[in-house]
Amino acid sequence: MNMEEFFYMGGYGVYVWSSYAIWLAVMIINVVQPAIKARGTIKRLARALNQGATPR
Amino acid sequence: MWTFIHKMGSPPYFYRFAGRLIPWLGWICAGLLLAGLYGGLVLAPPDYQQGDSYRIIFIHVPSAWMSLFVYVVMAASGAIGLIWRIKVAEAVAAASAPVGAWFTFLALVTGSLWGKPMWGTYWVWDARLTSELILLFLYLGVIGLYSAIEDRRTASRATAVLSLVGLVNIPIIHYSVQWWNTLHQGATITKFGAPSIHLSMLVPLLIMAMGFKLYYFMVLLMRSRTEVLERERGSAWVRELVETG
Repeated sequence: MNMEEFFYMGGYGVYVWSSYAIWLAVMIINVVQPAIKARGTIKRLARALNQGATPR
Repeated sequence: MWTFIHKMGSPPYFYRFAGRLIPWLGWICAGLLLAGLYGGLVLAPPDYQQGDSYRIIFIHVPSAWMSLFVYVVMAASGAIGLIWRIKVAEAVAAASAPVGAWFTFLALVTGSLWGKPMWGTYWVWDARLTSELILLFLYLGVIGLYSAIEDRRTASRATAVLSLVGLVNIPIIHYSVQWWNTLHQGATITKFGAPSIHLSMLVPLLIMAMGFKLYYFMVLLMRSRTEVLERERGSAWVRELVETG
């Protein structure tokens, strides 16, 4: 099987590859977003603590 | 086993344990997904009826399975939080909703992209598609309700009740292809007797399904850790953790 055939997918390339592209994007978003949020939360709690206030 | 469950109910223990587990889950999950993609996109032969378009199955079916599985986990941990007031269970329920909504979105979108070449339409109001769309709205309702209530513990109780009520939709989705005449094809794997799918397609599908499950657990732990931290922000262990960085 050559690369061209692989991407052509028997004529269904548009449907197959857009499905996989959307899937990949969602998978990446769902890992990156919680990671950013986790970092932000720790920073925010640390800042609140340094100011001596009860963190909110 | 029981002592382990008891320990996991303690927020600081859960936070540390989850933190150590996440990288392992990530690597195993990445390995499974790569293997599944190779098996599904390269090794598996084209379908005799659907040609290469069927290859969407390797992400569509695991997404759809996960959309149901995550909902059950969310409702069950919500119920545990409701009955025993376990904070970690409440955090797990809250962390499940966005992931479940994304899986439902994927099941709908990939199904739509599979429906166009096979059925000639992106969307049809048949029982399977409609009940899955209702599932998406249930998830969005849970997310909305949770963020509308300021106090996290009250929010958890309210969303737990909502998700338990919505649980009725899960068997409806599963059996919709039997109960009604749907355009959506019937069950291939989860039926009694031998699955009507060749091994060369079944194996990558199951590998992908395993990968999806581990992915969910990984994201779930990431989200619940942050959730636990927020809920416990006044406590000594969080203060210590935040100070040491």
